[in-house]
Amino acid sequence: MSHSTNDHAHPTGNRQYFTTWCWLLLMTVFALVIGYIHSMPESIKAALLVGVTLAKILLIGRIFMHLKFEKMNLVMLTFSPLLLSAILYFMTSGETRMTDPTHEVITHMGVEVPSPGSHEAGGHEK
Amino acid sequence: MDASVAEQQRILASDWGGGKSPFGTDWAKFMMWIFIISDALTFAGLLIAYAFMRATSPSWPVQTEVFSMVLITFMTFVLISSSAVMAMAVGAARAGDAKAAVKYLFLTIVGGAIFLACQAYEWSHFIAEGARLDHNPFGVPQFAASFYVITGFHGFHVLSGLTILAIVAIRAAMGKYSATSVENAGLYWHFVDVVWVFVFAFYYLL
Repeated sequence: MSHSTNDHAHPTGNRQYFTTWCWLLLMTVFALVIGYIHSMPESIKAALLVGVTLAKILLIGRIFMHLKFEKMNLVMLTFSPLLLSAILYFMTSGETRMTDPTHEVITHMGVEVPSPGSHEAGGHEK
Repeated sequence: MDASVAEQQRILASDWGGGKSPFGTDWAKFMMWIFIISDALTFAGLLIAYAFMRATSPSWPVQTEVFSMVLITFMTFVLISSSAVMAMAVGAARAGDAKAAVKYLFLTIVGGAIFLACQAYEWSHFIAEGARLDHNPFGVPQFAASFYVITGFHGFHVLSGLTILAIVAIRAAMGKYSATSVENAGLYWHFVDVVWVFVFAFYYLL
């Protein structure tokens, strides 16, 4: 059996994995509770869920994937998809929220798209 | 002269210095990280496209009323648990305890198989209710389309992960393995868990 180059730097034990597992389950329950509060404004719900999700992936990355033992340049590289996602989201958010002042005609196949108020029954309102 | 050599060695040994191993890992582990990052970009594209669809859609079904959240929560529990057990498998492999590594790998595979079985059940239930890629009885067509694409893509990753884990477990049982191979399989499995954390929050709860 061979070992990798940085074997010395992994003192994480099963006890810490168990603690991490407990925290992850706790945060999953918290996220579930947030999901069930339908009266909560979408923006607050989204912010809370993003926060819980980021906390969960930080725990998984740091403890389970041993990122806390890796060099900082590798750690920063692994978070590049998150940064690019944020850029892509905010780049398109003006258009998707229809707040872009350049937005003039919204049609699909020649039919006007229903306004945010005229939604179908049973769904989330925008 | 000695001072400049020492300074050069100090720079090379630093985080941004390069040196013999710029990222401080062996090539196989670094390649796994590169693969995970590129795969994360794929999922990021899918989830941002989903966010775009949600934001432009005039309405969206209430997911907690469409899906069995008991099942989804159970699936999340199983995947998180299998991820924790996988971390133990890596620890055992690093400690040279092949027997424990095989045991933990087997438990991880069982967790992954249970997750896949639950997903198959969820899909069959959704299909039976009339949900198709281009239409569904719950509202906008994008609702079912995004469900099939996102969970399907993730499910395929779980299946791939199970195949990799099975190969590593068999090799470990035969004594033909390295701690790095178990760790790389573990990195992939944890990544599958990370993706599910996003899917669970943004597709099922938001």
